[in-house]
Amino acid sequence: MNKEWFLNTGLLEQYALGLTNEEENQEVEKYLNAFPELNKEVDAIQKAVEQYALQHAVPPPKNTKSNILSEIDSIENKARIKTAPNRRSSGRWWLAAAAILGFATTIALFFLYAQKQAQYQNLASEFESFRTDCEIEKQRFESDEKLFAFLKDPNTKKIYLGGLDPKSTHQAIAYWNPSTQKAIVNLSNLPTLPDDQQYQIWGDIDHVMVNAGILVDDQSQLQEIKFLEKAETLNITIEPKGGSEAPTVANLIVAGKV
Amino acid sequence: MKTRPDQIIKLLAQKDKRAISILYDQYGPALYGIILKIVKKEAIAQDVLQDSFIKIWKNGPMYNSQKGTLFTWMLNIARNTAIDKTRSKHYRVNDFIEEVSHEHGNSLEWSFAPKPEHIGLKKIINNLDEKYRLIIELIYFRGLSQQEVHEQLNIPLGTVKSRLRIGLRELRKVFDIQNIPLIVFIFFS
Repeated sequence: MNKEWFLNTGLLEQYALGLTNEEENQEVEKYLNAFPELNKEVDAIQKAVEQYALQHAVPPPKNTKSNILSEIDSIENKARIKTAPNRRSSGRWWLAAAAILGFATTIALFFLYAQKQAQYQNLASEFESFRTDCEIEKQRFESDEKLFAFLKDPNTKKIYLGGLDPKSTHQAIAYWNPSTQKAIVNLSNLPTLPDDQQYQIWGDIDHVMVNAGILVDDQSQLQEIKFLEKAETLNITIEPKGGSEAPTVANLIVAGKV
Repeated sequence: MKTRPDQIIKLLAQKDKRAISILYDQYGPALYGIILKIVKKEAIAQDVLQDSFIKIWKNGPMYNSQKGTLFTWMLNIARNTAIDKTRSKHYRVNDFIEEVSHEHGNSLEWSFAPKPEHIGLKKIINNLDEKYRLIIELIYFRGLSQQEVHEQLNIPLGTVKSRLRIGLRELRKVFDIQNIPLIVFIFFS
């Protein structure tokens, strides 16, 4: 460490005037430690500057001191507010957030409920219509079963009703069961009637024609008719729509012996 | 009851407002004088003085007596704050250097000029060679670095450094002389 060299750098004077940076400070302090007499130089320079400042003192404006002290107060107050535990206001924040969340959830749930309710209603009514269809099918099945059983029944007699003219192809078939007292007829081959006419079937009891039923003009249908126990023959006539009290004998189309 | 220096330092370390009150009374005007020589305008100088004391209060706990006296520490804060202010307000430093280096008349406003009432002092400082006054003016009151002075005045860096040294030594002589009683001084001037 060269004292002469160091003094030539001018660093000592700059250090004394407060013009040096941290790096330069450390450098100077190394030399001050090595050459303690240099401290006197530093002190002397600083004292000269202090004296110069004191001798050139100027009274500042009157409100300066109070400005300084009140600014210190406000800085201290701000610091106090910042470090105080923000529990209440942060609690309020949480409360607000929770309330908003709760409210939003409630609204969402309400809409979800309404939607589910509508879906449920849909399903319910669909189910109802399915059930009704099911009932109908069940009933159809049951009646088909009954019919099938009826036809298979050994006591069911098959009666062919044919035209009076041997050349006629007209035919109807009746199913006659005395034990269950049930009868069914099928217009297997009868002409289609105009809208104002209908087929009617009669049973001949002691030479009296008794009405056994008005028939629907449908060849596929097996139609139930009245079971007339004492009937000797079955006869189908063409009558005006709605049927007649007594048969129009001239319109007899098919007949058969029971 | 006057507060002892070590007591003031203690209060300052605790960021006690009372320390600032005492230091303002004691050194406020001295700091204000230096600041005024740097920024020139009273309104700006007041701002700088206030800012300086706030910094002194904030950094009080960091003051280390090994680095120098409290007053010097405060002076440095005040000076740095003032220099920063001149930089931020776009002082045309270059123009100033031209004026300062070429003018020889008394009409020029030197920051480093002595108070009129200190006639004896003025004599001594005026005797201080202009070249030393210039260096001290530029480096201390204008905040230029030695490098900047070298570049702008076109004088060798080594010359800048030696002039600062000698100038400060001469300045010290001024204040060493001042330790002699004033009557004797006037008598001899």
